[in-house]
Amino acid sequence: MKFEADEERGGLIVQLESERDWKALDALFLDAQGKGGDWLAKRFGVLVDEADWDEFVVPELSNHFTEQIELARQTVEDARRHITEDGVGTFRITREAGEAWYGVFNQARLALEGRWKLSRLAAGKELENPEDVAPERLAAFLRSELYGRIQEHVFAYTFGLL
Amino acid sequence: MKGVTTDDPKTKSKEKSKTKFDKPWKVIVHDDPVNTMFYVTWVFQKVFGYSREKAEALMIQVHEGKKAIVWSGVREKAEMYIQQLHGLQLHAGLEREE
Repeated sequence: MKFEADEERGGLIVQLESERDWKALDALFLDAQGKGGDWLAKRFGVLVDEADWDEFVVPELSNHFTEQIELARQTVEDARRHITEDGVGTFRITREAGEAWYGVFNQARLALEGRWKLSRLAAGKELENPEDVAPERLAAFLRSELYGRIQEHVFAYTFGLL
Repeated sequence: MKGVTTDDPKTKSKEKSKTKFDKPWKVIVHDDPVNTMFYVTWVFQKVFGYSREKAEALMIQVHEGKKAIVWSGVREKAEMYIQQLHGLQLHAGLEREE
């Protein structure tokens, strides 16, 4: 997967060169869905002790998070339909879509953190002997690291500096 | 003795209402292991319109103290801010000033 600044229009150009790259993005969307439904909006809602919050705010937030995933997924699907003969697919993360893309990576990382407690893994000494870490948890850690790196690019190239 | 009382209910009601309005609501952001310091700073600037310096100082308070009050004021506005913070995936809660 290659990233390039879009000098002409701003934002980021992402190039997918192998099947592994496409699979990484498929995994991203799967991870971002977490436990499915409104898990993330509900999780945030726990921090607000307001009677109407779950009824009015949680569904709205949940739609917002789903729309972020759908926008990103659609962009990737469009790119998949226009793969070159060399197997290369390209899509843009525009400045307008930057927040949504960032949000998708964040949803995925929050879900992975919630399920696998990856920050504990990173802070502890378990990674010194990766063979002792459950393979699924190690894979989740590596995906989360990858998502975090990509987020840095998205932040740098699509977020307007305030 | 209708209409005669030593305790003026109108005054009491006004005082109660005034006290309710006087107590601000606090928007509290909790530290989390996912959101980066740059992003949290950016969110504070975007949502509250804070300067970069103020946003960074608050971000550090959140990071080092595990949570920080990032805004306080009327309830409706506090709720609006929290909704925005949740939309940007920060762990934010609402508390009433003691």
